[in-house]
Amino acid sequence: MKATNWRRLIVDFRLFGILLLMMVVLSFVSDRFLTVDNLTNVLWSVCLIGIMSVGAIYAPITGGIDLSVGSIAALSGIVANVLMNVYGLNWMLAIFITLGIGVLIGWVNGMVTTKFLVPAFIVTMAAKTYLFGVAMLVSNGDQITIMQPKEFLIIGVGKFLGIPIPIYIMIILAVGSHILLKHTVFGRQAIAVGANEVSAKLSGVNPDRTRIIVYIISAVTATIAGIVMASLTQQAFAMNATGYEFDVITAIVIGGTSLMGGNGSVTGALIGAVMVGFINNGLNLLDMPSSFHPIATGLVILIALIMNQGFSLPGAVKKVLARFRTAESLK
Amino acid sequence: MSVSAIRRLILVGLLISIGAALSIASPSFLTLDNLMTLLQEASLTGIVAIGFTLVLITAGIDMSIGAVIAITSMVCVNFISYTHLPAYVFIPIALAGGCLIGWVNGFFITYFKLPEFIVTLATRGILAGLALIAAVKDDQGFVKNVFIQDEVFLSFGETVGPVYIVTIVFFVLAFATQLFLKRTRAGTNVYATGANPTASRLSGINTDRTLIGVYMFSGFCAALASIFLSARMMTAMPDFGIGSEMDVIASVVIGGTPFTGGVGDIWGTVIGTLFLALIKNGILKLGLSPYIQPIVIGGIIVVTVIADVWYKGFAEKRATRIARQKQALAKEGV
Repeated sequence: MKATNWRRLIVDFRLFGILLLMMVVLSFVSDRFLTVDNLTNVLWSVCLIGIMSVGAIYAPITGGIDLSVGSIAALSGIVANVLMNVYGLNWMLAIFITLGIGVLIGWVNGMVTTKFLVPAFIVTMAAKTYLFGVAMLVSNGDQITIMQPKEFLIIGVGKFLGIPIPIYIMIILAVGSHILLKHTVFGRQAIAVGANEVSAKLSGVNPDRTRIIVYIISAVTATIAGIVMASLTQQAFAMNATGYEFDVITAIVIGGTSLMGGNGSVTGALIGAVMVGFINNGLNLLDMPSSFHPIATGLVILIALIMNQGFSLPGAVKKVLARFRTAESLK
Repeated sequence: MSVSAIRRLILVGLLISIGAALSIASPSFLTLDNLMTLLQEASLTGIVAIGFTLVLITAGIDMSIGAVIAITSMVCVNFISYTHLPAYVFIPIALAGGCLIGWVNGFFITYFKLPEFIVTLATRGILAGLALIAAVKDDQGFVKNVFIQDEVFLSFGETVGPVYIVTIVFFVLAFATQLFLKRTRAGTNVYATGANPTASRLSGINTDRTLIGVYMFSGFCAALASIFLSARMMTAMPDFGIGSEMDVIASVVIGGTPFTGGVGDIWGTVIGTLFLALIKNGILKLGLSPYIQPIVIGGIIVVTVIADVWYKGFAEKRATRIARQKQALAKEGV
């Protein structure tokens, strides 16, 4: 037990080490990196990715995936704007209705995945496509600027005790998600379902119900991220969050969550979100064209996945050498 | 009649009735010109869908096909702009590039035992970025719209009589692949690998080699479609094909190849491709909002899958009922 704790600690600190190394390298490479303006910029993107990943992490833990988070975020910003500024609803009511729509989307994703035995990534990929279509249809493809109501805009740009409100939202959600995963029955059930569905079912867990709740959680955090994003950028646009799902997956995978299910770490996902923010920011600072962004994300996903599988370069070399030696001795 | 045959009949019936409804609703639908354009668009998706069907039969998935289309068209454009090589030299190189991408996908999936969709999503991102970098740029660094003037290359977009060459290639490729799947040992290996990888490995099938081969074929098909697409458009852009994965997945799913692996054939995919192309053409002809298209495609995938599961359950219940009746009759007879 103690050994595993130590190993977990080392893994977490390894991530911190890589993070620090990245910061040092970036501050050497570009003198614009360690400025308040730049770090605030990084913070905004980290907040959005972080809010999404602490909820979206449950899908990989149960062995699924949620690729629809980006579209959900874009749609929720547009819906909130329509509710507030076209129908003139109170901003709190509008947010509650938007959250309700998020719950509905997650429920549909979960139902189709569990009851009709469709792979999660197909369902959520389809959801990503049609939700994007709905977002385009509702907003008419326009980039809508949100000026009203002031209370809504405070969510994104306001500060409390000198710290921006989105950071509070992210920290509260992260702590809640961590407690839910590690210290509640539901979290344990989610891990059990991901590790071995049959034995989880035999020990009395309802895998379908667990999965449906998982997709609802993921959709709700994506909705919250969408509301924060709409309020932060003061605009609602269907293209706003395209590609966020890859950033979210990268963050989750960097954090050591295997996509096969059965384990996961919310802290890891948060550190992963910070790293994704730094990678994107670093590419910007180095004046790389935007085309390097998907390349970097793809490479990081592949490398992190291979590392999560317990693969290491020295180990592989040793294996090849051993095979070579046995072949020699057989001769 | 088997379950899949009835399903296919229903699909063909729907295809014909939607076609009939469209020709009543829009006078410009039932013209030779429109039908040939429809077939040509269906063939471009269909060539990719043939490779994708094989991947789906092995219970895998290939999300990188759209990005393969983009990078292949960029490779061709670079050859055309910067070299004087003839088309029959660089087209095989481009096709081999598609195979190589498929090999890389297959290698990561089989050697590191990673989930298929995340590997291909990652390669999709990498290739989409590479396509943007490889694009031919003008002096200011903006992507240049290259007009392809290579005679041999452009001949791929021509027609034979009223039929586009791509349509002919599509049907020939479909026929050949169907023959491969049903009449060769390697084809049977593909089904076996999808149905039960462990059992196939234990009975002596090299499942890793089968998987890598299937992904290579998928990459090849996407590269082939890309060449036809750029020849038809007479130009190439780095965002060619990005996002077309959903069309391909929808076509294959409508065609009746399930995600569980081990089942499926090419004729279903051909019908599915025609079906999707018909619906897309219908949206255009009826003058609906173009934003409806992603909603329809995403919706079709979900609805088809739900209907399939219901239908399968219904057919199984019916089969057990008939079996029970037979048993009862046999007892009475004794």
